[in-house]
Amino acid sequence: MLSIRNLTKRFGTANAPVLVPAVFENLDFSLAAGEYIALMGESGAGKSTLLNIIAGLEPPSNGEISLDGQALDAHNDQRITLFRRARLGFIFQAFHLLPYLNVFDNVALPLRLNGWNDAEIAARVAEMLAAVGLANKASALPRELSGGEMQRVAIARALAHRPALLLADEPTGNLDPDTAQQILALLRREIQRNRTTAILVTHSGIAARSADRAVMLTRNAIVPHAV
Amino acid sequence: MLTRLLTSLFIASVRANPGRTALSVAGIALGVTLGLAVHVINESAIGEMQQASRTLGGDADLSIRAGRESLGGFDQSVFETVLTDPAVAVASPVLETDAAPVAELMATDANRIQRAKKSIKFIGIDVLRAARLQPGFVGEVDNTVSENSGDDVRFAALQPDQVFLNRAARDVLATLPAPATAGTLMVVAGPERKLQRLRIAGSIELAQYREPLAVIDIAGAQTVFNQLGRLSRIDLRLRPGIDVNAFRKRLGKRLPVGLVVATPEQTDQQSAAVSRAYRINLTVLSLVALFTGGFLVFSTQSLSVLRRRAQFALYRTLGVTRAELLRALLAEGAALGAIGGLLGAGAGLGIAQLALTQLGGDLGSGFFAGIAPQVRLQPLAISFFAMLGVAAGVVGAWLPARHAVAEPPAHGLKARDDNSAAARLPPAWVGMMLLAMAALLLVLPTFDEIPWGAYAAIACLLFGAIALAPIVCPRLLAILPLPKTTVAQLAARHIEKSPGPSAAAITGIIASFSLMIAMLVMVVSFRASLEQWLVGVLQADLYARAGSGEANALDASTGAALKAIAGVESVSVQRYRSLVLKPDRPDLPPVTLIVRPLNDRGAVLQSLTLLRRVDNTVLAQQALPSIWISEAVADLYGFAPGMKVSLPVEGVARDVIVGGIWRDYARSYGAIVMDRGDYLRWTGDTRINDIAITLKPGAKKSEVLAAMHTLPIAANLDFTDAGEIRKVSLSVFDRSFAVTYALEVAAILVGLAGISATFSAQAWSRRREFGMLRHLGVTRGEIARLLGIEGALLGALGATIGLLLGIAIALILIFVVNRQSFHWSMELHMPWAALATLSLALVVLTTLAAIISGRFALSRHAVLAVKEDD
Repeated sequence: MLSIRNLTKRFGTANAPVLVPAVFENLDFSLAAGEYIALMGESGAGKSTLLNIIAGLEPPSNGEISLDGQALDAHNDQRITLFRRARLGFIFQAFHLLPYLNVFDNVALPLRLNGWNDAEIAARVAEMLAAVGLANKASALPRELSGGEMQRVAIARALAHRPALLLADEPTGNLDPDTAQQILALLRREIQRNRTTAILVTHSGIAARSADRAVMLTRNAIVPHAV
Repeated sequence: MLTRLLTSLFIASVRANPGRTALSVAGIALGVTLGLAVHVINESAIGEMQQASRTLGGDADLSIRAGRESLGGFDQSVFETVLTDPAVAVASPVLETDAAPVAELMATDANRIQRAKKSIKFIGIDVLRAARLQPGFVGEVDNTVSENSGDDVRFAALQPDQVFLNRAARDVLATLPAPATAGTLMVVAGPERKLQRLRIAGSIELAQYREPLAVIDIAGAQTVFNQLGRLSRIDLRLRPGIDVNAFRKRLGKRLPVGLVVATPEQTDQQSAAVSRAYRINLTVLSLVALFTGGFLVFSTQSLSVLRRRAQFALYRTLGVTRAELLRALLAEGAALGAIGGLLGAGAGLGIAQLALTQLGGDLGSGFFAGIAPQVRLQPLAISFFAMLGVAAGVVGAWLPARHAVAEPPAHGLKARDDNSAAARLPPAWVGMMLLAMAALLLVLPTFDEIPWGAYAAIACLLFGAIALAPIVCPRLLAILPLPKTTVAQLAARHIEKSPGPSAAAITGIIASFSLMIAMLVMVVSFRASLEQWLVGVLQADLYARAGSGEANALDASTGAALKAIAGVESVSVQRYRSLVLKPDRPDLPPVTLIVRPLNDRGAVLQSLTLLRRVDNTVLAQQALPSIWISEAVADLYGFAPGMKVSLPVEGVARDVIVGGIWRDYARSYGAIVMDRGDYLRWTGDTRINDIAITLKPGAKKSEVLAAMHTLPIAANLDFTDAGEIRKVSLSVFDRSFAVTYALEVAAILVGLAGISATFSAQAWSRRREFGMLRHLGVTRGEIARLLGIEGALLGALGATIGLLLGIAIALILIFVVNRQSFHWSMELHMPWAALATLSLALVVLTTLAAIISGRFALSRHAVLAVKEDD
């Protein structure tokens, strides 16, 4: 489903990119449809950078990424943005809900962007809010929610438009252990229910255990990792 | 230690936002520059006028006048009365008049003369008396001239046909062709318009008087200017130990009615009073730029505080008290204001110097036309305007600073919701209370002839509307037609649910746009009313006059001679006099008496814009003559239609009935129209100043004019077409408002700069939001559209509120400020097309400003900002 071939990322100036050491280089990795993996690595290993490259938010220095056999071209911003809109879902550590939209509208946002009609949106948002246990908070504003509730909304938003690939970057980093556990369980359940392929970036072994398998990002490879 | 810490905080803030900081400083500097420049120019012009007046008055303790010197002469028998008073040490009679010197082009033809463009002030004095008050009046005799003429140089100053000129007067003469007889000065004067030759006997040096001046023996002046037995004023010095004020009151009672006894200070006040309302209006307007500069500081500081929330929270956690933080943030605002104030003060003085050198002292009003004053440095005024800059900085920083210190440090450390910091807005009751206060202030009377209540009402209205804007905007948003796209809906929801940042952006728009609309509506209404008024007062085809003042008054036969010319249907003559209606208020400028034939009382209706009048039948039953007063006379002297009042004409109090009130845009300190028949019966004065000439249908204006010029009596008369007068009057009007247009443009530029700064600030503070949207697949184009729609919506909201507020302020300007400042009313004329165009232009500008200033939101930094944890 997701295929990474010979991927290298090197930060630096356009004039002297080679002189700067690569964050990672010549990575090869593939992910099957419906698979849920935890991506681990030391700080600075490039986990978030890898996620950005997969999402087309940053171009790789070298290499190729394809999703369902379709190569992603991060240099064509318009195309990659529309691809992201339709096929990807995101969950962030800091939730990033729009403070001026209520829970319903936050979840409805990707559906509206993808051109769903109002009836479809109402049904799907209701379904997702029920799934994350916030059916009674549809009209609440983000500032009226707890951290755990905000992340539940973020999960509903990320999966509402049925993305092919979900990218979750430290989704429990801002939560207490109990809430984190609940969110991880919810995330796993929703990923399975929606049959989504997912990558969970985390430092936490406990979080990693909620995925189907864990992998470790090193400078030259993505290797299986026991947690 | 703490001071150093907070200073480094400020310096870091300035370094982080050099552009925005510079913009804030520039906004304040612009306001201070305009305010100080207008003040210095006006004060220099006033100072010049007062200095000139004091120079001519010399060491006099008091002077006796009958209104304006040029129109308000009085009988010289008054001089005998004063002279015998034991309290008077020196009494110096003066006849003062203005006349333009002329040159003969052909000696054989008296009609062929060329007049200098500038007039000379002729001061007729008794040199032996005047020298004791103003030694500068004693001229330096030019021996060569006197030797050539064979006169005794010792008595040159006593010769009735000899004049002494200052340098400026000689400069005026130099603009004319050299006279046939060297050392002569010629003027056309008297009712028969005779060419009068005066011999230049020498020079006078009055360093403080820079305008053209000629000193002549008073008897000579009375003869040359046909003012036998008349005086313009008497300057008095009292004996030591005499109480000036007590004597002033005592003398006032002994003098004929209509004469005023004033100290030099009171004369100064009067000369300043004529233009005071105009000057204050201009200064208030120039301070609008400063006001919008304060909004720029508000925008900059709001952003700066928002960016440093985490830092402030850390300082608070480490033990910096709320008061210390508040002081530091206010000091930041004060520092920006001080820099702006100092720069503005320097620039203001520079602009004032440039304007006075290049344009003279007149800012378009005509009050100071022809005066070329020098900049008068006023340390107090400079300090005041610089301090206004500091005040604008502190006021602008106040709300953001309050928000910063009110936030619990724990929230600031998390800094998740960027909007929360600016979300604390004044409650609705504050806005409502300000609007109610505005209504109450409007009913206050003027204080010292200035409508302070109305100005305060405008300020309350402005702040009230701004305070209510965040509450009104969501309601307006609900009725604005919006595209159904996700982007448009997001933009609308952001404005609706983020009142704080939206308010910060919209206040600048509302403030500058409303004031611009107010000025536009007022100026358009004024211009349209002026045009209507001009059509009313200029009903004849041609107007003839021989210059202003008594020296240029014409004999009534001039009118008859002009009427005899083929093609002339009728002539109507006018006589102008100057009256003092309240001798106990020497500071009040005199009223102009306009004498014209009003045989048919109904005819007055045709040329005067009558606002209120007594019914004709009621008026016909009155035995007393009727007068028609301008609004200023009604306001300043409490005259009303139907009221019996007394007019001091030629030293005699005459009872009259006020027939009605008319509108006069020419004399803001009052004018009274009365019938010529009544005036002649009272005074026997048949002289005239203006002649209105109506041509027969089909008569050619050029032919009639050519025929008129063949008359000897028409020598040196100016004939003006009514259309030309209308054109010139409207161009003078446009020129007088040119300064206000410039100030409006400055205010709107500052307002737009504020909008730009606010959008730029918001783009930064919302970077994670834009980053998240980019993650969700919102394209750059859609983000730009989102910014554009937000800009357009804020522009539309600002334009709507600004338009309504501007119209409300215009109503105050039209019906209260103008009425109270200048004592004239006007009709409301709404320039709907211009208002719609300006509103549309504002929406377009805010849209562009939002997109251009918010370009940070389109950058890669915004995409990566989702990882920032503050």
